[in-house]
Amino acid sequence: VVSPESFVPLHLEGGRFDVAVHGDDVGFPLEALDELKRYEEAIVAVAAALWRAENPGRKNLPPNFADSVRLRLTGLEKGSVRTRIATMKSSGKIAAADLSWGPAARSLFVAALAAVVAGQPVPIEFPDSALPALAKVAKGLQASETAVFQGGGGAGVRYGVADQQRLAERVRTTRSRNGQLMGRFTAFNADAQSFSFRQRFGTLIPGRFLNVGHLEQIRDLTEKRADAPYVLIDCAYALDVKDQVTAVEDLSIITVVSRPSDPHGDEVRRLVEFAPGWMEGGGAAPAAKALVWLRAFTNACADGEVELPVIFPTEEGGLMVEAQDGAVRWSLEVEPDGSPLIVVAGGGRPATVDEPDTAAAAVRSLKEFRA
Amino acid sequence: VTDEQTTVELPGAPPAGTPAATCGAPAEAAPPVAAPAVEVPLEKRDEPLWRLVHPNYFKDGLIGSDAFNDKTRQVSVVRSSVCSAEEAYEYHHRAPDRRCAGAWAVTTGEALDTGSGVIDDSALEAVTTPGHSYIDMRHFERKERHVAKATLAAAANDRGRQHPPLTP
Repeated sequence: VVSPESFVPLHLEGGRFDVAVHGDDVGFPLEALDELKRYEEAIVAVAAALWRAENPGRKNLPPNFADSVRLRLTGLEKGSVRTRIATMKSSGKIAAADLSWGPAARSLFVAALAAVVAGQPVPIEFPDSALPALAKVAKGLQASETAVFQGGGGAGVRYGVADQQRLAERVRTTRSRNGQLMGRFTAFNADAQSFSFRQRFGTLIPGRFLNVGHLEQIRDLTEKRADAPYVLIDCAYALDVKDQVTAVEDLSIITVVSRPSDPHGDEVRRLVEFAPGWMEGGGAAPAAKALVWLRAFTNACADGEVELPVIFPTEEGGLMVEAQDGAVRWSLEVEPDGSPLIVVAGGGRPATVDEPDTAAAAVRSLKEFRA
Repeated sequence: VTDEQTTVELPGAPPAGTPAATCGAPAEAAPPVAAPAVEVPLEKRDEPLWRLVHPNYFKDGLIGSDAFNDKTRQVSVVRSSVCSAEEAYEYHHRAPDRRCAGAWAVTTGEALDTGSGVIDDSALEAVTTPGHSYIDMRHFERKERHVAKATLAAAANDRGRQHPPLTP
């Protein structure tokens, strides 16, 4: 039984599909039927993955789950190859709640294709297990042909074989990029020159290093416990189709950001762990360069036996280090790029502004303020 | 919260417990202040302005200078002639999941002296907060902005939290 309310728009254009339009009757080239099958397989794979993510404790899909998501070709609309593809009504064996997986899967499917067409990463919420099926969609189209998928309103996503090939390549391979990552070394293998790295706010990824000169430093910084030192590594890393870092391929510089044995290690760590969205959904996480500067400052405070001021994150990813005496405030702001600025203001006195060269200079300024 | 600060009486502010004109006050309260039709610069220098401060900007008895910052460079405040500090605080909390460490105060004059503008925009259709105004820092470069927010935070911190009262 097919529900007339549940048609799924899919429009095929160009090449063999235009030929079909030229006659009085619309036809569908049988050799292209596999394309519809690939579409359905992708939708079923996405729906199953979404269901499993929602039901981690259950081993098997509900009975007839796939049937609740499957599609049927019920006809072609005259005037072009607009397929009439429909979902099936519930057979009564599937709980009503389960019938929502099809629309959710189609919506995510279209969002993923839109991202591919726009040259953007596949949305993070798209299930990894459905990527192979997604990468086959439109595989059988010819260069002049396009599939138009509708989802969630709008003009629809126009998807062709060039897009399919680009996605398939991105799913098959990882891309390398040079940059910085912050996180913690959680395991280390000297013989294999490899390590495990827990990314700040992210996943655990494998890594390796080619220069044995890093061996002692990594060994020193590796700690399984949650209070392992945070480090910033300059490295080459691999990205997947969702632009997620999957591995560190090599590293060149390791900079300590916080470690428990630092005099104010706990306070720096508190700032390191401010996650994005800390202010009503906004608020950037403190940036790496600002945190490195902060560690230098807190260590300089300890060296100079100066009481640590109060430290705040800024909405834009910087830090503010502040003290107040009466109505006068000493305020050090470290921008996300690590540039510091000290202002002394308030109490009706003219404000002073200073750009300290070093963390030690900032501590001297604080000492003068408190003197 | 334990803190050595005490709440002080502000110039131009209604005495504690005085019902406000339009901010959750009973119908028999003082007549409402006529709402301006457009954005109106504030000039009454001694009028306190309430600034609702996020908990992450309040630590060890100090409010951070970034409590007087906003990505738009328009720092929201509430006029004390329209809402008491308590009413401003309560109104802020009406929004779900909105957190607030309390209401602090600066005067219009203190804000103007930093070179900022102070604008009442409560008449705009998109603005729903009674007495909403903003301290306009859009024209500042980094150093000027830092001086302005540090100056205002110093004044507000020195004055103490206006609501809820800090217990010694």
